Amino acid sequence: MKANTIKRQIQEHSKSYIDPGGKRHPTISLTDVRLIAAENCILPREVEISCLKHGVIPRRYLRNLGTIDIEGQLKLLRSTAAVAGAGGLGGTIIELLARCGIGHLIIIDNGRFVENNLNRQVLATEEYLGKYKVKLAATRVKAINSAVTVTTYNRAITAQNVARMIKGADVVLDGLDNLPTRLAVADACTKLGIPFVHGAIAGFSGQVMTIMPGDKGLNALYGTASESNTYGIEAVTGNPPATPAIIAAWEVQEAVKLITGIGKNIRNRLLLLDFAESTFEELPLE
Amino acid sequence: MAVVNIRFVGPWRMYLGAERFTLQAVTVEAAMQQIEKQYGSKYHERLLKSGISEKRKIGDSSNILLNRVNIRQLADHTVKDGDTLDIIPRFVGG
Repeated sequence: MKANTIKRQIQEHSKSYIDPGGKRHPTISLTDVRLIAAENCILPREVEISCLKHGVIPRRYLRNLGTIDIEGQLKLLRSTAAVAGAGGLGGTIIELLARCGIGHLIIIDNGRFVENNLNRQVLATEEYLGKYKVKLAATRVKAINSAVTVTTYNRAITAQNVARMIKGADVVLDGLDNLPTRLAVADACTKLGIPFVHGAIAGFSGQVMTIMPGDKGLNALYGTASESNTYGIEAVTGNPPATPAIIAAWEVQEAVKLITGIGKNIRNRLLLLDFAESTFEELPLE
Repeated sequence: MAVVNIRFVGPWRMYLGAERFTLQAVTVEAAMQQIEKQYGSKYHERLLKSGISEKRKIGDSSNILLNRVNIRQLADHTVKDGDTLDIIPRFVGG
């Protein structure tokens, strides 16, 4: 009965939109999604899912169409993505996943914004210095897309607690800034059978790799966490603003492809980008 | 002694001023010692410019693949003619 009421309301509020190619699409506005959600005491995400099931496109996703079809958008809305770290990589990952229309975001970070974050972390602003990153991340997600459900963990990731936090995720994205934590998250993903999208940066360079359960993992690249005398070269290079944005965006592309089934992921190989020399390299990992 | 292909990957090229070359060595460690001897001072200069006075080796900041396999996963580090060592700068930032 309720489903029929929602369907009727969606059809009543649906308006036709003609795209630049001349194709007509039934669409629904954000205001109407909110209205139907409020009237039926359901989440906006549930309304958006109902809309898509009935071929009505929430207008916010209209420009996804063509690359992400209705079925793909439904998959995104029904998916959970966990983001480990809400800093340089993580901030942009969170922003883009919210705009994509991921259904549920798990955000994990125990840090507060400090001044040296301002050059590259999109969630960091002068006003929010000293504030917890996960709190601001959740606020930002809700401001972008109120249909996204957000779960935050304001705690440091350890090998002992990570599985509990990422359990149930369809994909985990790497927004971390150190090796032992990365290896702990990657290990938990392998044990839980969750794909892990790895990204890391240094200076004008960055790397991306998607690790499916059973794939060559981070150990094929880094060795194991127990090894000492290992340094990242970001001590030399710093982390200027554009690099995390590019690598984070690439990580999001990998996650969207995984969820929607579009295209091919970067598996069992490392994609290494050097923006200073304008070179992209693929390194197969055996 | 085997002739080994050395490939600096990504920003190592810019920092160390070389891309591909060959050297003669018996093991990965011996090859890395030669690399350190030839290019280590350039890395140390970069570190000093960044305010890091601690001595770090190129190998300490690299992921090293022997014929695409991380050397940390190999028990035998002996090299033979035509082997390739990829010296990949270690990125861990986020």
